[in-house]
Amino acid sequence: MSIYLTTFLVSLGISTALGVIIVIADKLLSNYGECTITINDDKQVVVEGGNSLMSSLFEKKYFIPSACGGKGTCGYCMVKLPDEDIPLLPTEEIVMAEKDVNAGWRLACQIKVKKNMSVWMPEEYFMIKEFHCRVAKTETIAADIKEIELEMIEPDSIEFKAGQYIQVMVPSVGETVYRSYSISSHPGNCKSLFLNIKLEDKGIGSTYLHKLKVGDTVNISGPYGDFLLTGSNRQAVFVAGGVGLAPINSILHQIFQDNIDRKCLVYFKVKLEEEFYYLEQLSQWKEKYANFSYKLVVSDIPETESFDSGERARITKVLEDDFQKISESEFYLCGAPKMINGIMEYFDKKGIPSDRVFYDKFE
Amino acid sequence: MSDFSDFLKITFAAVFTGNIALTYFLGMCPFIAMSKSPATAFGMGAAVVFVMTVTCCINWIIYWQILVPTGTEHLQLLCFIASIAVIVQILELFIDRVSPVLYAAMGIFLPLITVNCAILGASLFMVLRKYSFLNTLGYGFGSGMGWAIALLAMSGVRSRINTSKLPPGLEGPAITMITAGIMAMAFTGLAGVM
Ligand SMILES: Cc1cc2nc3c(=O)[nH]c(=O)nc-3n(C[C@H](O)[C@H](O)[C@H](O)COP(=O)(O)OP(=O)(O)OC[C@H]3O[C@@H](n4cnc5c(N)ncnc54)[C@H](O)[C@@H]3O)c2cc1C
Ligand code: FES
Repeated sequence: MSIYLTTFLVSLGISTALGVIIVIADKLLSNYGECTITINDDKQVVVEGGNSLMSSLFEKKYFIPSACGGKGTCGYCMVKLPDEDIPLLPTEEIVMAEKDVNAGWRLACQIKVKKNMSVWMPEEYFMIKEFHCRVAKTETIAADIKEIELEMIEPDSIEFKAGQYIQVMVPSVGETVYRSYSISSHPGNCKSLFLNIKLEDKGIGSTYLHKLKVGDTVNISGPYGDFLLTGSNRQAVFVAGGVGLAPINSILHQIFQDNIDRKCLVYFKVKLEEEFYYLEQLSQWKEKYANFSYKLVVSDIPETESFDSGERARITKVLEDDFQKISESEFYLCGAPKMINGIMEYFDKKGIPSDRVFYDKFE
Repeated sequence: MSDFSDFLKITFAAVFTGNIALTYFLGMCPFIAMSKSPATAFGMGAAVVFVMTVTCCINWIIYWQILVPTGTEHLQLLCFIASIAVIVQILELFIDRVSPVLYAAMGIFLPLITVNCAILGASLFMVLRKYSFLNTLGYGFGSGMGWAIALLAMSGVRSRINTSKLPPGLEGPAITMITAGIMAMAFTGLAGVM
């Protein structure tokens, strides 16, 4: 027999045998059958076992807050499992605070459904709904950043608080993935939402959103999150890194439209000048409201280029220069985790108590 | 009888003198990454012992009973990798079923056993040295044990290093590499026993 034929036959034989073995093992080991999940003692859903508790509940339209889409890095998807005795997983240990662990919270994205189980979740999770929307507008507002307006179709309105975010269901090969995006518009407009989307290189969610055209439909769930303005009357200092301006923009709209009497200062930090957006709006507010001011900060501008409309430095350096003016304020930070961690470290050194610092990390 | 003493010798050599981690420096990435705590080191070690023993035996059968008789030895790499992948996949399903904690602790390193060069290395050495089936069994098990013992020892040392003060610049990977080097010297010291 020719060597080619034997090679072909032997490879075919061995791979078929291995394939059969894996199929049998899969049937024997990862077949958990149908499992019933009892939610807060009074609701029951039947799901296919073997998936994470979060995705199983999502499938049945019970939504759990999540910022990382189930990667186990945000720690938002907390539920309690009153009757289960599953030991704490190392993945949970890393992201969860000790007090939450002691209170019996677990991360729904890390727990797998392998048998019937009962789950307890806070009532506010039931407020989270799924919405079917239509793209009403999409416009490039800065380098790689689009503003997208989503008009609510079914249900036809959404109630949310300024600073909250929604999750977009991104159809992709295999399972649906979820990505979080902050709402940048005022909660007074409940018929539609505005999002600011930064295109990430090879990013699944941002590429999907950037490709949408007017008239396309999108499914979202929400609202989620507790990055909200407090009732304090201290000066509010906002630090927005890039599209981190989105929830801050929503909060500012709320402050001005509801006539909240509070001194506000915004630091809008980007890497390169072409990433600034909504500048006209900011300068209008500054003219109109004596209580409001803002500062533009560019961190990575090349030495050869000039930048006159603001600072050209690292954000912590700018905060340090202004420290006298802002040390007694409340801080609202939003943007990439790296920026927020850097600022938090700086605040820690400066002795700013953590109960005056609020943040939303775009991880 | 001499068969059996061969078996013992090969097993012993695989564990100590020819330790696959510390004399051949194979499987170094998980060796460094999984030696942070003794508990995960134990789980990873057990997984590697299992995978190495089983894959060496299966690959022996594939090589000597299928590839050699059909004259298709050139397929060895391909077949070895495929059989290792399947065994690891099965092990993954099994661990997921019985121990969610271990499954979460091993995370990405469990599927990565597939591409762990120590596992493939053991199968290739077994062919190169023309071991019998029994000896292959001993060699696979011994190599796995050797790797696991080295990993456990390393995790023990590292948990003590964690609490000590190191000169700046030697922290993290640097001191781990130095420790591995010193451990390797200790293991080669055992060569005289043979
Ligand atoms: C609470 C919250 C609010 C948020 N609000 C906003 C918002 O208002 N606006 C906004 O723009 N974002 C926001 N985000 C971030 C957003 O959720 C996404 O994380 C972001 O859009 C990236 O998602 P993606 O699917 O495009 O990228 P992913 O696919 O998740 O990829 C993430 C990164 O990995 C890289 N990557 C992925 N695949 C590959 C590959 N194969 N090879 C190499 N590199 C790869 C990508 O380049 C990308 O940089 C928010 C996040 C959180 C948690
Ligand atoms: S969804 Fe982010 S940790 Fe569970």
